[in-house]
Amino acid sequence: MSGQMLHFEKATRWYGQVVALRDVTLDVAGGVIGLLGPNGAGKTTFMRLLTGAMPPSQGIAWVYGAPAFGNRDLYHRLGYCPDHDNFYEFMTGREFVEILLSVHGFDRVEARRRAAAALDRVRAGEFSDRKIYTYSKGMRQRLKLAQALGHDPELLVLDEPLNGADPLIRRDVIELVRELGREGRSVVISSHVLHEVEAMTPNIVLIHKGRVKAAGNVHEIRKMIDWHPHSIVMKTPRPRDLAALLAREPEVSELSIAEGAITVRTPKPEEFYARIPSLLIDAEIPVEEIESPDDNLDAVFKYLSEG
Amino acid sequence: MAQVTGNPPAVQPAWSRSAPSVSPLVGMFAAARISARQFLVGPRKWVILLAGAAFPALLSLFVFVQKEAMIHPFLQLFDQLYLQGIILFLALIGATPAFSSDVEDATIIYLFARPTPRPLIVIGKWAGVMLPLVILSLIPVLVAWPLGLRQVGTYKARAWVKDRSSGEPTSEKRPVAGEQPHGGGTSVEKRPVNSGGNSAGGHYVEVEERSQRHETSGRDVAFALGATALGIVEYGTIFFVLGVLFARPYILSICYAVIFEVFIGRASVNLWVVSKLIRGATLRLMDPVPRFFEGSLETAPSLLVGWLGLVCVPVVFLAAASLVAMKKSYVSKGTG
Repeated sequence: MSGQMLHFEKATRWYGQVVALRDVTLDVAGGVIGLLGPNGAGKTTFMRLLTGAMPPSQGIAWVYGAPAFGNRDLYHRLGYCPDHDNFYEFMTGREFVEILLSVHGFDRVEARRRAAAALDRVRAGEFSDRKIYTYSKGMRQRLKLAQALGHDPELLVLDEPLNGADPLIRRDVIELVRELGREGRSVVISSHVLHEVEAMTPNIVLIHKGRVKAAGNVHEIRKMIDWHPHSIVMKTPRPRDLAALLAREPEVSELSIAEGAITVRTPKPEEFYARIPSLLIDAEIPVEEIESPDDNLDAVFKYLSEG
Repeated sequence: MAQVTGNPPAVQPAWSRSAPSVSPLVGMFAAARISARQFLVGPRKWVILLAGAAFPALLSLFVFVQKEAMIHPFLQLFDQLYLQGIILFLALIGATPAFSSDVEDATIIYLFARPTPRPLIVIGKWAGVMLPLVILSLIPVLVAWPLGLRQVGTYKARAWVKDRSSGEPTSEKRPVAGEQPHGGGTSVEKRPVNSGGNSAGGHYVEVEERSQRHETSGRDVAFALGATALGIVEYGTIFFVLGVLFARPYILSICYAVIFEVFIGRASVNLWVVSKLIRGATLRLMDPVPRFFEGSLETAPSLLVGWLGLVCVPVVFLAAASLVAMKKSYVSKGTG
């Protein structure tokens, strides 16, 4: 068991009357794992048990052969990128990463060196000397990744790192996770968008209403997802121009325009996502945020639950 | 049981070759740096300076406008207004959010996902807020000091018998027993000499009243500075720890400060434990003590009891907070 990266046995966590995670039994040996589920499925709770941020109310949650909660040695090996966007806003990005590395226990020289390396790795170096309160969503995502990577951890736990990110950061994060996997690190990454996870790893854990519905290879799930057209919301100051541009694309089956955003429906999300960065750059249309509502995934889980 | 196996490591990674050298104490000092910076960049410092300014402002009022209102306005105002009132609120404003703000905005997750033990992070956060809070709370005392130089001191009077016709003194000048509050300046009053109820013909007593300008002494200020620092640490620790123990400590802190300390606490053990210990321990370290407090020493606890009490409050409270922090999960319900 000590060789296992993760060992959950009947792990249950509740908040008052609400059961967020129910009887989760799971073994993960290592590698890149996608944790997939709609909003409210229990992904964040799963990750908090995994990172030792909270203990299970019942059952056990072990990482590397020891309970995760109260195990400070685990944090030598684990880097955590939480789902929220809160920082010490008065600091610069570089100061933020440096001081967290100092909290880790590194002296100032070492903390500075590691912070610079981590910021460069996530391509945050060029804006890292600006105050955090001036950062965009994408910059914040990069900063969170940098603080998780700074101490060179063996296991990275990334909670929805693509949520609300622009196309560029999506591409970079996907590439970064692949690279971390190639380096031999383990990565647990959560998302409610299957094709995002699929781009990083074929190994997924499906979670819905606090229960693990399936764990293993993505291809079977892929087939079910394809039955349901995928919705993508793109926030832009020029929604009409963007709609006109995308209407010509064969992957787009349906388009609707709202104030400051358009919603695209596509049966081929992976082709669409692959195409979108170059389209936007060529047309010079700014896109502030891309989100994938989880209605299609929800439908799949409904199917899984009923089936 | 679900089994998931990812890709095996492709290369021998750097992290498996050598464990990096880290020090928990460095982590504690870093937590202190974060706490101090949070305090100094936010609005708290201005609120504290503004609230603390009430002490020199009121002192100015009493010294320059109502000269006869107090015998020793510096120490009297310091003791009754600053030490027993304002300091409580400076500590509340300064120390309550030091930990709880990190819990509220979930930045505590970044700190607790590190190998530095949680108790050291809690102590670091505490130390980081206490140092600037003490320094800022000393500023009003230092500002009040030169104002205290203008205060009117104790009443001095001497009397001697003079011959009514020649006006020559027929006795030595002797101090008049007792002291009274006095408005200042020098005056001479002629009174007939009474001897067994009869006026002694050609003599009278001349009483010279003189108030000397009594500067606030160094020991008055030393007492005020010492008691301020102790008071801030004692009360600040209580409010800081409330932030570690409870999710929304502000209501609790305000209830403690307003209801317990100000209204109920005056007759409580708590006031003795904190306020009196601060005063007693500071006074007993001074030789001689400010005259204003000479009477207080009779009821003040011994130096040993005083310091034990003062050390116990932060140590016991911080130890309790550290234990709770080790076991508590400072995260709200997940959204994912």
